[in-house]
Amino acid sequence: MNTYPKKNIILNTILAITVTSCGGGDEQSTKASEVIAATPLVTATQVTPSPKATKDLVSKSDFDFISKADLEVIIPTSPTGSVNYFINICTDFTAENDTVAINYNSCKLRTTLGTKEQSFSLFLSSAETLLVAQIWPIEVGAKPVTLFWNIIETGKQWKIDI
Amino acid sequence: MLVNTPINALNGFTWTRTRFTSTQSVTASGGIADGEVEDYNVFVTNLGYSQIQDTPYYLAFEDNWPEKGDYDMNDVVIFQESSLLVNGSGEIKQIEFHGELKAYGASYQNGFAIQLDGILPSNVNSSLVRFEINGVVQETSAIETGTDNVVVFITDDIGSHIQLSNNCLYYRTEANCTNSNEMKFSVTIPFINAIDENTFPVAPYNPFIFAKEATYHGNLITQPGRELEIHLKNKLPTSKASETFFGQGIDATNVSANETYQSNSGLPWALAISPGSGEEWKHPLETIEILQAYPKFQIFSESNGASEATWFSLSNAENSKLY
Repeated sequence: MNTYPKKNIILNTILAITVTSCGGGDEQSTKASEVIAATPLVTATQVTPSPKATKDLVSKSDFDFISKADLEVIIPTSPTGSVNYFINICTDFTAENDTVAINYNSCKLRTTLGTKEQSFSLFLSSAETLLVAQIWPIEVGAKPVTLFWNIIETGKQWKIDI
Repeated sequence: MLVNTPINALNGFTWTRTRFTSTQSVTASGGIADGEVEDYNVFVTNLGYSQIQDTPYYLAFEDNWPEKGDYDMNDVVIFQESSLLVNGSGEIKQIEFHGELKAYGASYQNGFAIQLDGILPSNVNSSLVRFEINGVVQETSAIETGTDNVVVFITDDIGSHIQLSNNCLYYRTEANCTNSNEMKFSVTIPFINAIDENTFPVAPYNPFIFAKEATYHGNLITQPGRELEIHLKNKLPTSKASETFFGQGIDATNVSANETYQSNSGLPWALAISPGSGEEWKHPLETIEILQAYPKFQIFSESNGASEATWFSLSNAENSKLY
């Protein structure tokens, strides 16, 4: 019997993900102009502060200039003791129809499901609001369960159920 | 595909090589007649352990502290990634840093280090610390001696790791001054006793630059050496910083009030910017103020972060003013 601890290896395939934007800008631009024309009281000068030099900016002494978002993730227990389950939670992905392409370099959490529920605090960029979780049974030919989360729409605590 | 991990593999990031060929029993290197080879970045850990990968940060420094800088925020720009190895009890067992110098628009000579606030150096498992620069294992220790908290000491002279291109005064800050030189580092720091996550500091931790010994660092404090540190706003200095520099120039540090490395108007000398894992942050060109390059920085600053939290995104930038 091997008395050494088992090691778990995680492959991080580096995926190049290209995001393309859709057309239709001309029509949207036209509609935007019409809205502005119909509401002349709202102007850009009312909300845009006059330009300054950086040295003239003022901020509170306790403000650290770091913008970030936090998320608490609660990982469920393993559904069975006969198969190990691995989960990763990532922020850079595309989902189209039934296909999810994940940049595994963007994964914020990699762990296995155990006999106890686990809680993790993650700190994200303020620009990252969408997350994907993949739960993999560690067995040959396994396919993952894929789940999504939107921090803005559904909050800062993600309790994952399978 | 399931892969058996070598039993002597160490915890942390490493690489695997996959070779697909008609030749049997090939090794990781060497020529063969046909096939394909791919390298994969992998993370090795014990079953039951977890890995938390912090959001990556671009660290942008002005090195003229305590005097007013030009606010182009490109004297030192470092891309910093970090990850934590967490045991089954939710305690931190190891931290790993990866970094890359993105710009060096400094006239002064600076070093770079990262303090782990509240973590004792005696709790570092020194024999297992791994420290590499550009893939080369360093013989010097990555853990600075004689400090109260752990200080991950990357280099005392950033400029010594890069060479400037012809006709360029700085590294990757001037228009038409490209440079293929790289300065990348990685440090893995295992702890003897796992640390409660509630007492462990959070990213971006406490990165700072400091003056190189016996070099000129401005007219106000001409040759301060290691004692002159420049941190993110409201981060604590190390025990090697000289408090005699506080309050000089336009610095308004009040250590007892946890108000450090800021001017009278609350401006910092360093920024930590996290555009997200799939995005890049571009620093301003030489002498271009951060506010000219990123106009929404004004609202972000004056709203104390309540508005324009993504001021740093490329869609909010004046792209002609970025390197």
